[in-house]
Amino acid sequence: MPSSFHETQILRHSPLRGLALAAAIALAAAAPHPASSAPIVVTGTATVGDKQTVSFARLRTDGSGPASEFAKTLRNDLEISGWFISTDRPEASVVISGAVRAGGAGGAAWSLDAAWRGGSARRTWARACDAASVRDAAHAVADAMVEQIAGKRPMASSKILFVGKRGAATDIYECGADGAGLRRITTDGKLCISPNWIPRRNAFLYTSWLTGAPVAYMVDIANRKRSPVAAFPGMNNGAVASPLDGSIAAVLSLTGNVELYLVDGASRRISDRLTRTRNASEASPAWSPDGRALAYVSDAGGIPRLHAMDLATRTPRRLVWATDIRESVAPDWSCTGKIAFCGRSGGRYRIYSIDPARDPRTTRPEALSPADGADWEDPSWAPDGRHVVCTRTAGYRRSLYVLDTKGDPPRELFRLSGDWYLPSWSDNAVFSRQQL
Amino acid sequence: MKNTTIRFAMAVAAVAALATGCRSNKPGEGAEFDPLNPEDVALGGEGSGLFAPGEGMLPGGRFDQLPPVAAPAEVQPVYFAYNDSAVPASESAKVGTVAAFLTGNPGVVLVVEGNCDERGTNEYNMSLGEYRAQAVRDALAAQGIDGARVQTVSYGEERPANPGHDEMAWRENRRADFAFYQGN
Repeated sequence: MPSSFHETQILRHSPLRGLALAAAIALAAAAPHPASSAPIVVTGTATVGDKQTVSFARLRTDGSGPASEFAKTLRNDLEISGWFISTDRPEASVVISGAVRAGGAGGAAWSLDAAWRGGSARRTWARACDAASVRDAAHAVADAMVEQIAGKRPMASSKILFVGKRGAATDIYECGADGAGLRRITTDGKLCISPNWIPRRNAFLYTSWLTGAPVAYMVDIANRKRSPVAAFPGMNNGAVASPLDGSIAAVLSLTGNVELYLVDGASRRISDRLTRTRNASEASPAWSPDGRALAYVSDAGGIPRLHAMDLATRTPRRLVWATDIRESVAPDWSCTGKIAFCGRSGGRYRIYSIDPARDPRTTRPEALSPADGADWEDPSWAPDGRHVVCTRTAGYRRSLYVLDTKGDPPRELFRLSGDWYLPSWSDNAVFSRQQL
Repeated sequence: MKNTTIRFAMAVAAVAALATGCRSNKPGEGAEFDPLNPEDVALGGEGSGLFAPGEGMLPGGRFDQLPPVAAPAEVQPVYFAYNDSAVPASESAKVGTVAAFLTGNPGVVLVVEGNCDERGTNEYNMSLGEYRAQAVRDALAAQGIDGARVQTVSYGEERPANPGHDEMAWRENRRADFAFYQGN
């Protein structure tokens, strides 16, 4: 089998690239299959594009539910990480061997050996977990493999928050990066929007009309507590916590003007007002990864457009100048410094990415979502800095998709009746405390 | 080998579905792992959340916690142009009707509810809805109504009057509603 595919390089940023990849895999699968007693071959070069092949041919499971769930979760996590293609053939650039079996108390026990770099690199993971932790444990092993074998940032342990609307009731829900583990967090059935994870905590901020007016609340998932963080007269929305010091940026209208403010995370008092735009609307603040700048939306120029503000200078600068992108809204700043946003072009909303460090007047935003007639909105970066979760609206139904900045096809997070929108993707580390 | 073939078929189906803008059905039988179909996941009823409904609410201060007062029939929603929060001249007579009702009923207070159509992001529409409500409050103030009697609330695009998705529905959804309550 060829060790790489020139076509995948050419199609790197094309929606067709996924097809080319899939075709490459099918060709590989059609090749003569060696006998199962063949020796393990760690080729070190069996890659497809920038993906490494990972063989599960030597991983044994005892067929029990927990063992199968562990193995399937691990394999799926490696696939959706974007850095691996799994195979049942014994030859691959990464070969996983060992066994997974049922453990005590309905859990799983595993002893996995991974070999890569032609067999010169090896690592073993061996442990057991209880019934409730099987998926989390598999996520933790997948994260370790992504970090140690691919040398990339992991995301398998992270979680995604979003608004779910089933019938007339709206609540906040959560699921894993793989779309599994869906659960409802709030049960108020009241209007709510804008869930945003708090960096490095199992907690989030969101806006709800619990009292009749839009108030920003903090929900501490681990301690099952909810409390208001911004409940000023008028509107309190878009609250996001700084990765630096816990201060909260929010859009408030207490003066009668919609402006961007900073609220002290501890005292919950206003500590600063960041914009003064008479008769203009601000919306959707998003922190830079270093907590020193904010991206946000302002229609001070007549139509809603993306801006960034360095907190030291307080000078807003416009980030999107492409003339075919009329509106640019809903920014989210990745750990690698890129900003994903939603742009209105040709009457449709699409997801784009820009590097704010480059001159915005000469830098063309990169489209991440396909031009498929649907509207794509509300991007939120995965902790790997590679994937983006967003809302796709088609046939007046909203569902959640994961986009890949490196060209893998969009992945629907889960399929369930109702509307699912406004996703926020968590850190990985906060949920990857699972022992290895 | 079977597995990779299935994955290939799924990948092709997914790309084709996206390219044509239609939805594919469930992935083929035999898919090893299918997070797309959590139909068996119990989303729960009462008591299934992290905390009781209503926990953490902020008490008091809102007019909408007072006894409601039925709006007179002549009070109508104020409609707005797309992406605009100015009260159109053609709608100003409606504001006059509300001002007259408040003047004749000095114990009544008002919440102006700003709403948007579904185009644009939920968050931006929150701000736009707030400005629409405030524009109506300002117009009432210009007609002599004490600002302390008027509160605003934005619902953004979250509470459409018309659930449709065409220009007719959008026109009905870009609006300010009036909710009256008994003050003193």
